[in-house]
Amino acid sequence: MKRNTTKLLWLLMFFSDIVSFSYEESMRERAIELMQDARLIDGHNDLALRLRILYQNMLSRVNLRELNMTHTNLAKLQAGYVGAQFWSVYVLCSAQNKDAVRLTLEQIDVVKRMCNSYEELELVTTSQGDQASYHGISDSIRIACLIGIEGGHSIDSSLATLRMYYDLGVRYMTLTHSCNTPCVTGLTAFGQEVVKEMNRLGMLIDLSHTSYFTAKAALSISKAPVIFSHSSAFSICNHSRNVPDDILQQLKNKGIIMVTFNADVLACGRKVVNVSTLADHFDHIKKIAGSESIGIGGDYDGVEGFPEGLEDVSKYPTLIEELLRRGWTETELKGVLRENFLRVFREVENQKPGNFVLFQLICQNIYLMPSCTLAD
Amino acid sequence: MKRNTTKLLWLLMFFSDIVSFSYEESMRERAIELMQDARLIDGHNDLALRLRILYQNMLSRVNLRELNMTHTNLAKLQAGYVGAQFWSVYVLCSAQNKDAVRLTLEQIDVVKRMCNSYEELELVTTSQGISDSIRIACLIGIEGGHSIDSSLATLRMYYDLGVRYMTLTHSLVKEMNRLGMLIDLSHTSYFTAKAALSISKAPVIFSHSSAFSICNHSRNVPDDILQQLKNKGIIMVTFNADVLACGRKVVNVSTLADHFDHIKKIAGSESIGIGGDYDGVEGFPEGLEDVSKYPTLIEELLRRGWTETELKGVLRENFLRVFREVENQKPGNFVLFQLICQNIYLMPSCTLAD
Repeated sequence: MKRNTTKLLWLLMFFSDIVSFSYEESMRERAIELMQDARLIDGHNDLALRLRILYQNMLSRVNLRELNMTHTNLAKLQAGYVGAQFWSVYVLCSAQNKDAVRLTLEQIDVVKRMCNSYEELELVTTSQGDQASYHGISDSIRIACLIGIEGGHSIDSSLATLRMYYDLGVRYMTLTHSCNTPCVTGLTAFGQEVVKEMNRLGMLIDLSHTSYFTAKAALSISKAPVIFSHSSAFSICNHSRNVPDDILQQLKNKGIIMVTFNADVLACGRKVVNVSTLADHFDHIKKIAGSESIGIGGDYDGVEGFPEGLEDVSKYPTLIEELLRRGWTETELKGVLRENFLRVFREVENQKPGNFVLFQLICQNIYLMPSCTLAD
Repeated sequence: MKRNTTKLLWLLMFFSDIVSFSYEESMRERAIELMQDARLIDGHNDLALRLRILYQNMLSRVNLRELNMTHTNLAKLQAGYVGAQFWSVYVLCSAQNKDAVRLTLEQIDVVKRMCNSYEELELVTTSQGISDSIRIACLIGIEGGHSIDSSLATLRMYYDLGVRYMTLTHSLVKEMNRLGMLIDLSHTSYFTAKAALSISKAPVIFSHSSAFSICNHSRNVPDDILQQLKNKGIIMVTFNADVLACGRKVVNVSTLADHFDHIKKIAGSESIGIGGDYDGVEGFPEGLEDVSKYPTLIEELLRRGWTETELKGVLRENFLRVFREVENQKPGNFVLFQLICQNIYLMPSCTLAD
């Protein structure tokens, strides 16, 4: 009798191994199926800066499909089920008040050339295409490329320059970087004008890197939703790059935080940093702001240290798998992967044309002001 | 008998007055009919710089229809039968190596806002855009290589923003050919112009220059270069009194027309256009004080025997032909190059920009 029990126990262990193995396997499969269906929109990647530093923006020197000196290459992006990527055109803070504008134009240029040179990539500037002549994020079948400016120093205190960046296809600006831009503590008068102009243009306002007071001020002035393109939760790790709970709460219906993978800001110095550490941030933010306010902004190639298991841009499914394991639903995860961002982007896009065209019509026809632009 | 002769003579003079008056009147009418049918494409106007200096680019402070502090306003452009205007986004040379790029962006911005704010204006970026427009088509030209701060990437971004010519002070000719951007040789030295003409695979322009033979001002174009413009470009003759008359006191439409006649002799009428330089300089010939006066020139050229076909060429057709050729340089060749590059040589990234 005892031998039969022992055999049964062994059989049970064996089966449970198979079952849990299948369970693991199917979690992974579920994550991948989900991501195939709802490819990731990532809020922030600094490959363009690496291309400048390593190759002086000379794309003929590098094969972006197989490049192995960076976290990012095209093969890895595809393996990571990335459907759209905001490429940061960051220029060093040391360029502030010097040649920041030209450098920014050079970074915009390298992103455009990159996206025009590879059939896997496609430059877009809208949430949706027009079904006839251009694609937006939602209807692109390639990896959609978008452009984000990091740091108000890029506009050199000039709203005209901001407008020209918008014309060149830039769709978000991080108000500050770690430079002390002329709008860092709270928002100066000029900073307020920048927020209003970005609302008018339909450009996303990115509050990553801003101080607490700047973020609060921007949230109160902005008529459109805002984003944090690559930040995490201050409650979990009190790093200055992270977002405190009171601001997270304001993001309900007013924005999105694209959670970042930078090990330093996730783990506050703790030695073990892995997908679980990252998932803790997701769980916390879901509790405070709701899952509809969450997206993903890896910051690959922008920093050095990443959690174990998330070393490069092919590893995103590992995160999704972990969140599935923690009980996140597929709807919530589709939101995190793309739907939440698209919703915010559409709202920001819709701020401008209707209102502005109406304003112009009223202005020109009733008030007979010959020139009616909010830009004056 | 003598009294009858005298009366006859008076009658003759009277009739000849009427006849010549009618002749004059019909010359004017002919000029206007011609221009209504073939509105002028002007190669260079500095209103944008004046807007910066006078109004800090704040368009709400000014009514561009009636503005009277400048050579240019919309009413005058319409009276001058201007159909398309290249607005210069010049920034001061003192900005070179400093903030020239940002200043240039600000000037591009004011031109765009201006052209979007008035229903009389319409921003275009192609030859077809010019020919289709029923408004005054706005185009943008950059003056001075300092605007690009030695950066081809910046040049490309200006092209993306709609800039369609740059006055050359750098050897950027190949990149401009590739982009399909017009190369403007006004203000360049003789040697730069010669070099550009030999390197460029596309036609070039002088957006606002006149004939060195008639007045040997450094801004003008010598005959040997004018000759090279046959089939290889266009000189958009400028109205700046200083470069037309070399200091002579009397400067009027005849002085200007002498330049046209000379250039026609050397380069042919198909190489000629118009680039007033209004609001870019102070002194203009008598009778050509502002942008409403272009018909006065056309009238004079008609009087000198220029045909309507030649004048339609001068007014717009010559420029459009050159612009089309420059536009056509790029896409076909570039796409073909990319295809060959990617598929035969298997280079993953194939841009001539590298």
